[in-house]
Amino acid sequence: MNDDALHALPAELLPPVSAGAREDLACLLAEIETRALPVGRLHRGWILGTANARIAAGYLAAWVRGGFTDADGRERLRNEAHLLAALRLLGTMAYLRGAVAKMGQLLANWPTLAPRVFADTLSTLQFEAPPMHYSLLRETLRGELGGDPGTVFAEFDQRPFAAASLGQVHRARLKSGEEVAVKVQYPGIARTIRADFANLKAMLLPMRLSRDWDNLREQLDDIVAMLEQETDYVQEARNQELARRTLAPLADVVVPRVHAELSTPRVLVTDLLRGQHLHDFLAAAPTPEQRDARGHQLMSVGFRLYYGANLIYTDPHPGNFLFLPDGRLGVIDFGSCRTLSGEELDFVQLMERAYRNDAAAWERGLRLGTRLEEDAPMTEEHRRLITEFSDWLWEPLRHEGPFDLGSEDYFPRGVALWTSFVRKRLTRTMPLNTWINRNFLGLRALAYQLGARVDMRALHAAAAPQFSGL
Amino acid sequence: MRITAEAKQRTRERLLDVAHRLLARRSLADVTTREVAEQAQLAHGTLFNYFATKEDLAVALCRQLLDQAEADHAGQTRGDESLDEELFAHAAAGLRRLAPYRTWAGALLGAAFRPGVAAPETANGDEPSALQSRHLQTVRAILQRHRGKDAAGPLPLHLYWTLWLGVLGWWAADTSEHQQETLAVLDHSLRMLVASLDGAAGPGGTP
Repeated sequence: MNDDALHALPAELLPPVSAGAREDLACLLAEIETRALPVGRLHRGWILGTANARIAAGYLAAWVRGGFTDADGRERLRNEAHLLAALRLLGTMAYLRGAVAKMGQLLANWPTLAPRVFADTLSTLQFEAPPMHYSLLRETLRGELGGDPGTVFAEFDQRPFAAASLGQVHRARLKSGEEVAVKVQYPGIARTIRADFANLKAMLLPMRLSRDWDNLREQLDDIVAMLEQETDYVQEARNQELARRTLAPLADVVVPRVHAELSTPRVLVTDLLRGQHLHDFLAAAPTPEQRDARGHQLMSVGFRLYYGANLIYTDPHPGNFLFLPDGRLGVIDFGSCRTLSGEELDFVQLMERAYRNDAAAWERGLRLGTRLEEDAPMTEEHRRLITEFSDWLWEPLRHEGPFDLGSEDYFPRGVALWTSFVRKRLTRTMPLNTWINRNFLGLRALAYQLGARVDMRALHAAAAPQFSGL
Repeated sequence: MRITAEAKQRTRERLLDVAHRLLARRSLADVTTREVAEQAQLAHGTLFNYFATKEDLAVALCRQLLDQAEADHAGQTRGDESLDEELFAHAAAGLRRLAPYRTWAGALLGAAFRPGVAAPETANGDEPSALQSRHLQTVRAILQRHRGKDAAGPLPLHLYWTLWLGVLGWWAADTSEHQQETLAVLDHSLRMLVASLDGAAGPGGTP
């Protein structure tokens, strides 16, 4: 039996199923994992390695199955059939690897991986569109900008220099002489994502996944909404301008300007920044002071956007940060940002009070954050894990002076706690928490890789003056 | 009075020019042969000496546009394209020329073309057949240049043609902005074609 895909799962996550069903599922997951995309070139261009895709597919399955392990045998069989159909559908999605990976990434979070691998994986998993050759790009730009790249821009590099969310980025020069980055979305991808997820949801719906189905559906809807937002470059331009204004007081941080006159829902033109990514920065053996300074910049960006603009930068992977030669930090991709809603702002405020040891706020925050009704029971274990995880998040903020975010005693502990949630299937949550955790864990993963010491308490106080009186 | 071949050709082109103008703005059903003849300053019946039906006139117009697209494609080829990119550029040049007539051209060509592929040199001379032949000659040359003679046999051409008819059908009904979904369908179709060629023979035609 080929159950490599299932080996990606911790054994305790696998519900007892018949050997036959398990074999079907294993084969299916293996098929999703190894299935060639429609063509070889797409496959080669896909950023996800097969190992990552396998893990993600495995966790997607675990997430879906996790909800009905207490069902009786007949119902489990019925659900198994629905799950197989849903996974089969996933395997036919036009942009399947990305979608599978994204869901796996958001809902499972790699319980069995070592912290270092966790940090690396967090960096590389993204939703990806297939690469476009120049002829396709040219036709797309003709439609979007009304002319060939060669006529709209003074110069246009036909080779992309980076993959972007759902498209790719090219260097160009405007007729006014400025160097710009031109991000172009793969044509038609937005409608495809919508259709794929609508199908997936319809397929999962009849499974009636236990008492948490409403919450799982809420999380799924939230992911779809975020993905849709990622396909709208006009929204991204708005996020970017908001971030630019919010981060303007930080002299050592730069957000590229958007050229709105050349931007559309599927084309985004911004100033071009040149600098090193994290990997190259580390390869040049920076001094501890340089590492600390970069960590300080990264954390400032996260805090300022969160507290100053109510914006969560949900995709803090290394490709989105540039270490400029003049010492500034460039932040370059705002496709995956989440603006806090009114209810979410209330939650953030409750958590700020809880951080300051307000016991009543903590209780209310627990209920709101886990979507539990007032009188619904919460297990001691669940409460303990949430408490420990929150304490872990707040530990650097409670520490006087620079906190060592690169310590082997700190980041790995957070990963272990997070792992416990998934292993124990305590995944019932307000969708916001997925994004907050992605932001916090992602930024701390970067600081961990940097080995940076950062005065988080001072940064938090400076970024969130509105909470200083709580 | 005898009409010279040259005068016949001029009249034919005049009719096509009028059709070009009228059909870019309106649907095929909306434009009558009487109207075309009047605007070309010909008697209604004379039009039928040149085109047996309105559809024949429209197919001839498509042929003219696709001939221009062949020239566009030849002019923009860089020489370093991959196989799927060059096939894409060729097909996209055609769609671009036909774009003003999309509301009827996709459906018309889809209906006029036979699903099967005759060898280009055995085309029977009617407009759809000539059109198909011209298109496939270029495709065959592209396939041969990239993957050798074996890759341009009847089977790959047949597969290509089937995909192309599918793309035309999609394009005719594509409601997405700038018909961007057709670009994606064309891209996927051609990558699939190339993958199947390479799966069968490997790049460069080696088994």
